Amino acid sequence: MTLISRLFLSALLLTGCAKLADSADDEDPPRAVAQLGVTGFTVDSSALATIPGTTLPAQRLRLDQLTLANMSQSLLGATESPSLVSVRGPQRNYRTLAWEFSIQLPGGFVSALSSAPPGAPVDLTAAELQTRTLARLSQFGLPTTEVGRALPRQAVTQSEEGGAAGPTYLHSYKTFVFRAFNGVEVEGHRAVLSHGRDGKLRKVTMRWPALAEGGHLLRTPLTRAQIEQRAVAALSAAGETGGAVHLSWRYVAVPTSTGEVTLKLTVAAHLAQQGSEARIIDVDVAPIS
Amino acid sequence: MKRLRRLAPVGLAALSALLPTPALAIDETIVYGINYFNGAGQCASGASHAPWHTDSATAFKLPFDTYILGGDWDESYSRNNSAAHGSYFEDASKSSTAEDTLSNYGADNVDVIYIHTHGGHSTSPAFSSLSMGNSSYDCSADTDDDMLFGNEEAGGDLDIAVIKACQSGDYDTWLNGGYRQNFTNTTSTFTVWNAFHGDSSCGSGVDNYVSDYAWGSFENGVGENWIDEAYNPAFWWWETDDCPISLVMGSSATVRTHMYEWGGFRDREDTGSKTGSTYFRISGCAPTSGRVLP
Repeated sequence: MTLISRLFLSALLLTGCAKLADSADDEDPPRAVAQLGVTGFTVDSSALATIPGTTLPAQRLRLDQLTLANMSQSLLGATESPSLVSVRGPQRNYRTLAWEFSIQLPGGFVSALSSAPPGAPVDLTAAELQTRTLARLSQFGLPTTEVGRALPRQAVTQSEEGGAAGPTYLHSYKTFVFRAFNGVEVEGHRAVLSHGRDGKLRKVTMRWPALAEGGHLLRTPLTRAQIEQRAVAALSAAGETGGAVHLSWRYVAVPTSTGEVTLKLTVAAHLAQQGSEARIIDVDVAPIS
Repeated sequence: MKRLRRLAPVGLAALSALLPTPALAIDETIVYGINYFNGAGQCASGASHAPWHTDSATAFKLPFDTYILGGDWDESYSRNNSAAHGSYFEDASKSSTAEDTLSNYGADNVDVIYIHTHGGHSTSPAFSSLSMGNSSYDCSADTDDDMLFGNEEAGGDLDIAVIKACQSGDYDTWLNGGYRQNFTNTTSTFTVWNAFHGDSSCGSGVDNYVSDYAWGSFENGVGENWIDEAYNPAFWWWETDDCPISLVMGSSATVRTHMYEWGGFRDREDTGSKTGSTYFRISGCAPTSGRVLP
């Protein structure tokens, strides 16, 4: 298969990549990676065949839309002014008649929960749920041009009393919306809108900062072969010695002084590990504007 | 449980001001991040070192430190790598080397803990295990033969545990009694075990959602926010889902659900006797090392 190349590391390369990532306030020095032995990686870069676009849509969420008024009225649907409950560092906590919510402006962070009494249960199809969610986000100012996947899910609950498990019940309809441009998702940016069994919006969990006007690094001068080599080096530096690696594009958001973010094109190297968690390492592809 | 302590008589409060502050009366957090495995003095694990584990522990701790500056939280500690002893997760009723109530180190000495490490599970016998950071102590902290939290009669204090480790909240292990029945007794204060069914992926993105989870969960959503933030559905064919779960213990489904929705680090609700538990999840979530969640 031409799209897959097998790369074997030499002990010399490992020696050159022996420094591990820093760790916070820990008591152990990093170990030399070379001690772990040498095997090899199988790198699949086929998902990099499609080069992401190098422009961003003109219509997108603006910084001046990340306001208390817009969040409470357009996103949550509150009709009265929210009362400030407390301030904790960058976070402000508010209350309205029907909502308690925490926000970080201008970082685009919202954690909100409705105290409105539930109504009669309704059946919501996945399509209806998706439509309601995207309409609410659009009303807030978040255009579909920066929406990637919008996945309706059912959050369920099941209880045991004295060890005897009971039936499963629907708790909420949740729609997970992921931010993406040019078919590439932005790491860490999501909006989760939860609707109750009555079909009403009951919870919002969101991290969706505004993009800066410029300064984005959306292209890479590297070839796929060069990216594969960097991926292997990055995995080696992280102490890995072999396994199946899959590469894909990803945007990392870099905060600016205004609270907006710029996008930086990276490659995610996904390493599946037998009997343990998959590891996903960001590969620096020397992006340029 | 915070609410009960707030009802302390004024006279007692004045008296206590003259005495050393007992751990039970203050708001405390410990984070445990374990990066290194399989080396000298380290614990064996299926995976090697994991550089993000202490990063996410730091991310979890930051909002608590911010609250401390504002006088809204009391203490927070990092016990990373070789300082993360298995004995800190052992209860004296289960182990002769137990130190889970050791002041400012033991998991049951504080109100909220976070740990990021490797994990595993067994459905029969039913338990989950956490890989610890120092081979001079217990390398595998198990929910069945090590842990008993919130047992105030023995100095236990834990209310909320957030576990970023594979298979730490397995559905079938729960069905078989591997959690509540093991790490609580009926009078325990321990209420929330946020964890994962199946394996959970790990990378530099973890500290983003762990940070948002911690910031957003002081007042409300201590269980539900974990689902919202940590659920990670597969995008590519080589990926599987990350399936966070929230397990809440208490006397009825109603009080447990209220804690899941409205409880927080600062609003640790009294859910009563730990005679039952509720397992919150995303239906259809399909991880590695765990069945598709019903």
